[in-house]
Amino acid sequence: MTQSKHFKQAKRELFFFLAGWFFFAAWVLIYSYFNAYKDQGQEPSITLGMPSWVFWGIAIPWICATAFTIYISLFVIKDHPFINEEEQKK
Amino acid sequence: MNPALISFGIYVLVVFVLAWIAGNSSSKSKSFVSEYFLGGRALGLWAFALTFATTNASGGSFIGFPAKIYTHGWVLALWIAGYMTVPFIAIGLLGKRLNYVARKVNAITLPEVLGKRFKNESVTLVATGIIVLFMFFYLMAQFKAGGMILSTLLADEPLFIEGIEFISQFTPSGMDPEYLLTLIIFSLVVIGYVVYGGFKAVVWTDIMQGIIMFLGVAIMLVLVLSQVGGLERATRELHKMVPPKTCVAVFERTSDSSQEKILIKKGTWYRTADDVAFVVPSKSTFINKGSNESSSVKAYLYDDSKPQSFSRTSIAQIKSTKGYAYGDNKKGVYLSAPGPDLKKGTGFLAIVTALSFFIFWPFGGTGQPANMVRLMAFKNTQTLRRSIITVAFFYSFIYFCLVIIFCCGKVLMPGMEANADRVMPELATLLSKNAGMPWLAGLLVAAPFAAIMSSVDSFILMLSSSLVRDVYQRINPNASQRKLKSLSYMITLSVGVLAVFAMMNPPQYLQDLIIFASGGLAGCLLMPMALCLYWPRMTPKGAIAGMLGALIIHLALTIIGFKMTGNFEPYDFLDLNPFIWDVIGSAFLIVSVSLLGKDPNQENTEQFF
Repeated sequence: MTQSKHFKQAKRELFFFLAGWFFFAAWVLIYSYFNAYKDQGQEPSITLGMPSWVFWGIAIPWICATAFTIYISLFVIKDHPFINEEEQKK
Repeated sequence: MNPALISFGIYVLVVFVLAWIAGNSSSKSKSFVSEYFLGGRALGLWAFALTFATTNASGGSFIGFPAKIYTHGWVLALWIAGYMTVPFIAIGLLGKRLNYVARKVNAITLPEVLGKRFKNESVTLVATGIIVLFMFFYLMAQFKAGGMILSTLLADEPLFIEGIEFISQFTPSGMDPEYLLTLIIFSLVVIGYVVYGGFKAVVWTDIMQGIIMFLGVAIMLVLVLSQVGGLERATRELHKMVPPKTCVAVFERTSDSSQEKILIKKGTWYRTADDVAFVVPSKSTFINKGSNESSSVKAYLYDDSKPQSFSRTSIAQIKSTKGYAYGDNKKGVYLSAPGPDLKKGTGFLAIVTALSFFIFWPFGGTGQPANMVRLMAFKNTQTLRRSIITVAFFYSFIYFCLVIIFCCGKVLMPGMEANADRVMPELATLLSKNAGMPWLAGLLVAAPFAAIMSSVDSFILMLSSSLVRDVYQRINPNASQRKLKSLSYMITLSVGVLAVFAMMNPPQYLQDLIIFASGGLAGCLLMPMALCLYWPRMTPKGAIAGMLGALIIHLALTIIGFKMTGNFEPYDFLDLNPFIWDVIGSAFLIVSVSLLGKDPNQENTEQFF
């Protein structure tokens, strides 16, 4: 069976989505495992008003994930005409 | 009249006007069913992005989530962190493929997409059955949450109090007349606009509700940060706080409380008999008129808090004091993981549970039928790409800011552990009052109300579309548009009314109901739908085995959990959310049953790939 161009492109995009998820899951969970589960002691470590582990382990990856989302939306996902649009063009 | 109520009333009025305009526009369409249930597959950027974002952000986001932040602290940032990947996973993973094939085979509902992939009625019916079963549980929980918010807004209104007195004459014993009245008001509002306006009304009101949520969170953030003295000060104050203790408080009359009936109200501060600490009951109780007997109730004990006001009508003796299982007397526990927990000795969020939620939020969101239906309704791929970006900004702002708001809220308004589900409306009221703008509370409370409405409306419509399209139109394929129109109105109305009847006497553990239903829906439908779109070798028997297998796993883990704890809580095998086991079981069954069977029909497969 020959696969359509639309299906092949969708599979390529799927790879990017899953790779992105793995990368951010690894960043957040590994960083948090080593830094969030520690006793805060007498003087808490604070960055920009929040606990430092939240800043480096959640806030920064969240900003990077948003940047990644913008990148894949603009450059990885390709436009593909849908049925109604194709019919309209014909 | 209460200024908050006026601004809230204006908001509800605008919702009705939008629904009326949408309803008129749907009635003029040639294909009523497609227009009523899918908005003619023509959603643009803002409509698609905001309806997707708000449907996913249900009452849980503005009621349950704030309560959790308040109870466990900054660790909730890790609990919700999976939302950073929700936009590209929940929209990107299936969006383009699902919209493309749904248009190609002219499918309006999810069971229809699955059925047309295999030309098999059984697949459609199994999927419809699963959607109807779980969605009903989900709807029940949202109705209750809507009623709760209304009761906060209306609490001091004389007309509302008269209404409670009136309705109490007809309320069967054991039912709360206040809850019943708020349930009726909430249901009339939501069912009214969904029945008349259909999908378009839901989408248009979702856009407005999305804007209200965004504004509500933005205003609360500014107010809370200015009133608490900045985020750093709030975090340092939170560092000094320790979890309260639980106890049994025995209430007695004081000499000045004479002989009147005394209400010991849940969530109110009472001083202890030795005058050094305060207790907050976690349940309301009475000391009857003419009785000098004491009344015992479970309560939270705070020994270093200074509430702004407290009751002097009675005095509490403290018995059986007990600390949190994790975090008792531990300073800094609200700033670190795993966070304090009343029952679990390992704390609120073990790292495996954090992993479990990082999987659940994006992939569970992908498998929600109400989200998948929206993926079938956007106009073109440009809309899809821009919407992913819009949803990413929306979620990043809403969820991260909620963590900040309620960590600050805990410092500003301590002692609400007994009544944590009301922390959102109470904080909104406090912030507005402190800012000298009481009307603002109406807008802020409209945010969670909007979140609940945008989920309830989508779910009611989802249920009725499954019944009209996947059941009735299958029996009567030549039914006229007029017949389908009246049937759609009637079924949408019936689904809403049935949910209200089911919720008249609500179950105790509502948050657990939401988790059971949303996890079940996603667990049963994610893999069948994903593989239906990406794996040509899948067979109809594989699809049915995958759906039923996940259903059995989900029910089995819930039953085991119930047997072990006595509560409606699923069993987290290896500390992982049951959704993950549903998905693993479902994927295994689909692949193995499909590979063991014959190749699927070539013609059907080619149409999809």
